[in-house]
Amino acid sequence: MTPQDPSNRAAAAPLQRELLQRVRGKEPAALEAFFDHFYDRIYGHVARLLQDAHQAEDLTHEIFLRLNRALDQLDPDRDPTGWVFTVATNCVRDHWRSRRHKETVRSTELTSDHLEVLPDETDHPEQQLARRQEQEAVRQAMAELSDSDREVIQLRDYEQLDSNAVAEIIGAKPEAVRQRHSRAVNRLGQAFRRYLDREERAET
Amino acid sequence: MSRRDDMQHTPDEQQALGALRALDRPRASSEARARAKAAFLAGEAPAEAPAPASAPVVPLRPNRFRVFVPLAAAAVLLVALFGMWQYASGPRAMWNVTDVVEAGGVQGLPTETGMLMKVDPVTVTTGPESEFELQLGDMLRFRMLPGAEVELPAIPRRWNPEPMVIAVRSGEIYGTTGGEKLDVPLRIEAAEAIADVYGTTFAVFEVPEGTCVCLWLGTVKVTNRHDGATFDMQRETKFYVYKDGSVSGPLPIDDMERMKLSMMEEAGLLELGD
Repeated sequence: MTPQDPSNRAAAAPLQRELLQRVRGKEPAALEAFFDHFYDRIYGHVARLLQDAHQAEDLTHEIFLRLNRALDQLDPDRDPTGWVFTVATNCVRDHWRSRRHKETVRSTELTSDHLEVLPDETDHPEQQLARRQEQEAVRQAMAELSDSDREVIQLRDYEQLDSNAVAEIIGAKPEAVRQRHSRAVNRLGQAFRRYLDREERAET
Repeated sequence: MSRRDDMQHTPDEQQALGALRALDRPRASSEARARAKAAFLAGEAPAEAPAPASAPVVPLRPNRFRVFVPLAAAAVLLVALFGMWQYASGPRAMWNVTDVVEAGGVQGLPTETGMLMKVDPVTVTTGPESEFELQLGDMLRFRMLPGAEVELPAIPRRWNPEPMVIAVRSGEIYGTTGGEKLDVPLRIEAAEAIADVYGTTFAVFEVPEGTCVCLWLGTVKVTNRHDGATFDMQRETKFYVYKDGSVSGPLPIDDMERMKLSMMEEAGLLELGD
């Protein structure tokens, strides 16, 4: 699994119905498989939304506890990805509304170390530099976006969920998701260009 | 998000999305992952209890209404309160010039009759041949005779009005409230005495010997500024406070004062109401 490979983000094979039934029955082995299947994905999602590694760890912990208590709602006949992201999104929104989030000093913001793309050994130094500049620019541009903009881009472009799935997760109509996403990407592009120009000027 | 959708984006947007997708996924520390796994398997409650798992999804869009409606209501309330405050703090009435004799001798205010004025505190004087008569809404009408100098206050506001104080520096003024008893007394300040007028028709003379207060009808309380002693006047009487603080009265008003006070009373009854 290479860092550039989107498959490191998208879920692997969907969980089987039989496994989901056992998850619903809270069998330890099934729970463990369920956890391993979703934990990294959910943590990554939360960390990108919160831009804070430590808070993301705490909140992901809470999310999985909430999932555990809600397992009786799990439908073994459906892919649970949307349901899991719905619970995660609710938790993140609760957190955004909380006083703790508003008072947070982002002293532990995700740094480049958390997000850095491993350089492709075949890249020339110039290409590696350009990639690093892009990476830094998009990281700053994402941080500048509003919570809701970051949320919709995260779900569609990073988690690669379609509009219908995102609509189900965030509780909006698919058309509204498309419009919201379009506006968010527009703002991302503008911020990205601004930061990229700044990076390039700094290099020269 | 498909690559086909990217074709609808600008080059900057496509480049930004490409860079975003190329980012590696953040990884939790192994300790945090292990803690979360143990808690998930055991189903143990966190230190801070989260909201119930069955809590419904609360989408962002309805939240906009949840925020917008109270904000809109608050804005409407603020505008209404501001309007009420503006109204309540506004003047109860405006001055209106009702009669002028020898306008050239009047200083301090315009002399066109019938013009409504909302004035800041101002000093008005009448020349040796001038007379000047003003009316404040339906509250007060008063006339300055020749050689008078009067300081007018700001007009009381509608809500919680402060007592209105008119300072008579020199000369004679005649006033009336038109038969109405005032809830907040009108205060006339002269050099030697203060007259608190509750209604209705009165006169104050600031003369070389001292201050004289006349009452045609109604209630006026006079305060000697030298010793603070007060005196409740009877109708158709006058009361002197001399420059040395001595007093004289009550004395009967003379014929000229009677005529002028009665004319003022009639004008007040006619112009101010009842």
